[in-house]
Amino acid sequence: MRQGAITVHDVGKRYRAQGGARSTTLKGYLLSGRSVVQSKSFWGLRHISFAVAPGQAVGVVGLNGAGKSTLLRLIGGVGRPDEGQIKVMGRIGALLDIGAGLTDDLTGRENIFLLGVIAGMRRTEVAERFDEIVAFAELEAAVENPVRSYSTGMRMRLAFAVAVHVRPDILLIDEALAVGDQAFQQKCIARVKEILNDGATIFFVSHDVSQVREICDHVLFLRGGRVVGYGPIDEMLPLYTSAVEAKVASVQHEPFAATKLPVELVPQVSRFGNGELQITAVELLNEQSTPTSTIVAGDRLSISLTYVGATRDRNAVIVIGVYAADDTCCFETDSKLAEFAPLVDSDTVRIETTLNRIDLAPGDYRVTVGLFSADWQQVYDYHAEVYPLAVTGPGPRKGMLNPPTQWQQVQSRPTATSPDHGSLGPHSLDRNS
Amino acid sequence: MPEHLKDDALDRAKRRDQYWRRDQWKLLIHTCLQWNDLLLALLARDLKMRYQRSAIGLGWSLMRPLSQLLVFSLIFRNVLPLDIPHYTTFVFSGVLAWGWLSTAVPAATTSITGSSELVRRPGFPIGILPVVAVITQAVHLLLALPLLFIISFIETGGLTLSVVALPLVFLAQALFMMGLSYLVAIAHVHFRDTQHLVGVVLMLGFYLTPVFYSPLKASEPMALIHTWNPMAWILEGYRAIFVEHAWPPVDIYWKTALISLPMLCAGIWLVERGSARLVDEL
Repeated sequence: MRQGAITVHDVGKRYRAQGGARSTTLKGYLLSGRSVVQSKSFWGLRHISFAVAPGQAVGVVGLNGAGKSTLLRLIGGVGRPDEGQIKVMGRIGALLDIGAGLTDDLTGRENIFLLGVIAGMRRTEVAERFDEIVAFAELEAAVENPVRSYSTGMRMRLAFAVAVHVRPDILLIDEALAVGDQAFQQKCIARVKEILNDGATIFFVSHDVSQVREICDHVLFLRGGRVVGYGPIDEMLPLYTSAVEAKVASVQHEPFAATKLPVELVPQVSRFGNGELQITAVELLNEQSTPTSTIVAGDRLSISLTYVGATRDRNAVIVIGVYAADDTCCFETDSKLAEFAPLVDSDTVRIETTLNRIDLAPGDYRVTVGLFSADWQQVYDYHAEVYPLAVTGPGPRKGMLNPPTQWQQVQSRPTATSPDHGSLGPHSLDRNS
Repeated sequence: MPEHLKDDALDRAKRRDQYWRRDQWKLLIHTCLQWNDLLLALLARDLKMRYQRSAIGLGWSLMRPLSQLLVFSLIFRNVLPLDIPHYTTFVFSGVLAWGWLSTAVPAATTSITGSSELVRRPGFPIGILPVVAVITQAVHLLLALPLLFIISFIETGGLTLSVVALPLVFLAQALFMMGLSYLVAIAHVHFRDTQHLVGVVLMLGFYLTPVFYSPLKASEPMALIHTWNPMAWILEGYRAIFVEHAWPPVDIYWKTALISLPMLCAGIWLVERGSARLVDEL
């Protein structure tokens, strides 16, 4: 793994439910006997898997109680998951509980040194960056006063300034950018971007969609402790927004007319969107154009999609994706990428996307389809990993990719011991023959 | 793979391995230095917080041992004479050493639970907290030390070379207290009444340890409470230096180490292992 990478594999974290709490005193423990009743518990997070490459900025979104902060803490190494593994490479910096670690009786200067050292810097490192930190916090005049005399805003600025000067490989941020006035917030965001440009990985929990849009390139969407989706921001953020809108509307208002789809769709779990455009039929077709859900590896697959509601000035970007059983995305593309704009000549539009070869290892996959507005601000209708696709046939020993493979023996080169031969590859042999 | 390419690959792997190892060493050294800085910063915070705003500052820390000294020397010289030679030096060394234990162990007990905001920080070494508690309280002992030297000088005459053994006795006591501190700190995370229990045990310990009376001889019936008491061994060390001007008996070092090291290892292991659950308990 490279410095700055994060891998999360099938992570689960269990919490004791209220009322089922174990006694927290020795007296209580002895009185209740050793055989304490099995306390009730619930999973705060379950089956969370994703990977973040170094230098990526991932926004974590989800409604309250989705497990965002828990996940952030686990990645920070605070607490350990009850299931699965988390691997994090590199120095972690964190903007969590900003302002919690300040000591009232000490001066601003003393607090800067204390916070910096607590955050993992050497004293000399803090001293080097001291002026920079004070300037960033805009506290030049007050730095020798005890923090007791600071306003809330000054405290936050001080704590934030220290935290963003740690120079981490991975920066975890929990709602912390809501610090101070607008001007200071802009400064914070600019600083976070600077850290990102220096090559750090950013993991950012926020309810503020505009901030996520400004900083992140990927989004992890959590709901009830599960991953709803993880992918490029264009696709994931509209899903989250539509989930929020559905929650705000809060009525059992069903934006989708009852349509005959081959699978059952659960709103906000496997179906998202505002329903302005609606997918009415999805079919997977084999080479003979007959509907199927099983194909042989290497065969052609067409995905036929019918939707209603499109008008000349309200047309959709179509997203097609294939996902493995463990939610790994094998392939996803959209019509905008292919510069394909469907013509609207009637209310109903039918699009067929052909994937010329499905070179996937045998196994069970699921197909995602979605309709987004052209500016990626809205999702009309999105069916997340619902259409089953089984791939059969010969496969690789390991892995997901299944390209056509050929083996052949080529004439071996006479033993090359002299360094004159350099590092000529096998292709030079082909040229000779 | 052709031979010459294989050598290249091996070479590269070897170099990468070396880099990695060197990096690991650098990382380890950096971490140690960083922890040292952290320890100093937390110590400075604790001391400043406690004494910055009081008029005579650290002078307050002398009030307790001095008042104890006054009471003990009045009572056990005039009311219930104990007949211990150089009693003032004897009791002051006892009161100071016990004072370190009796303030540091309760402070260590709540050190982890009382710093939840630090414990919840990614990468914060939780194990440093009991150490901070023990060392902060040692400052009181160090401040009172000149006074002990003066009293010893007046009462018993000049000190001998055996004073150089003092740091060793300190170290033995610190080791024993760290062993205790980790265990009580982690116990208090899980059972919040440990604090009260520690208070009671320390109070009993004060009477069972020869702080203000002389230790029992091995032949006496209750001698067990002193021959098997690490604090009694340590006090013997202090008194050898300050009262008798002799070298502390060598067996107190290894006996203390023999008891303290397993406690310390167990404590550190428990904190390490428990640190995952610990966060949920706070």
